[in-house]
Amino acid sequence: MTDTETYRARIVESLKNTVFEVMGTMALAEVTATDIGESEEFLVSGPAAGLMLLAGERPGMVAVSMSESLVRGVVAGITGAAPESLSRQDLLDGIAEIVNMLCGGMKTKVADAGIQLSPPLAVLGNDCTLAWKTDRPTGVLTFEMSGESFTVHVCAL
Amino acid sequence: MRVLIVDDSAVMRKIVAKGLRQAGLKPDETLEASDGSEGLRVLAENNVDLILADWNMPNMDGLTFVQELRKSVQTPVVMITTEGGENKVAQAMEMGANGHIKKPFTPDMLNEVIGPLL
Repeated sequence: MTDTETYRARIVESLKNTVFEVMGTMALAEVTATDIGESEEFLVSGPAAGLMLLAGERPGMVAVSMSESLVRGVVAGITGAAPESLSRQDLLDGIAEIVNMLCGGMKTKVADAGIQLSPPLAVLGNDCTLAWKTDRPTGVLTFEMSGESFTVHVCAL
Repeated sequence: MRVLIVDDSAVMRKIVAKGLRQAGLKPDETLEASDGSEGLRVLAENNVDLILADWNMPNMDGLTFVQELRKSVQTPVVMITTEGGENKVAQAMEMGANGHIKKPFTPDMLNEVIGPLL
């Protein structure tokens, strides 16, 4: 394994473990990892997505995408609010906070990599696809929670 | 107990408020501000027993907020952020923060840091 491959494997493992921590600790939800795969493209589909750019010596991108109903459920779980009381702004804040916590946890686990994080970007809308142009492989982690699946994409250069 | 939560995310303010309740700290009143500038305005008109502040915020970030409020207010301040590096924590403490909690957090983690400050 090359240094880069080892680094990418560490990033994927750190993100996977952070997903369990964030969803388990904050949302008190049971999450299972159903697939850890790889894609040649960094393509993220909504309807709800949160993205963060990794800067520093090892740049890259992390994104989490899930259905609106799932993000509503997670945000309700972590705030204690009733799902139907959450506004569109709450859902945007929520998906941004989820990717923020995922990247923060990942960054702590690979502290030696000197990763810097951008502020999160949140997207909410049907039929949208977000593409980050890269020629490097993207790790695609699929999880299941509350009978729905969500994905975490990570490309570490 | 009156608490001021300073965070640009309304969702995170709710998460922190819920965490305080779960930790058994049960504030009598929770005031909110969406950035450091608003936090200072709230503090100019209200006395609080505890301040919980995010790090990265528009207009005035958490570090500048702590630095500014320490010119006149000695209320305990705890930073709640994803920035968990030792250097960042040391910087926050140097500016006048009394504690640091890294997200994601549990009610126990809140109690451990906040309990001794009250």
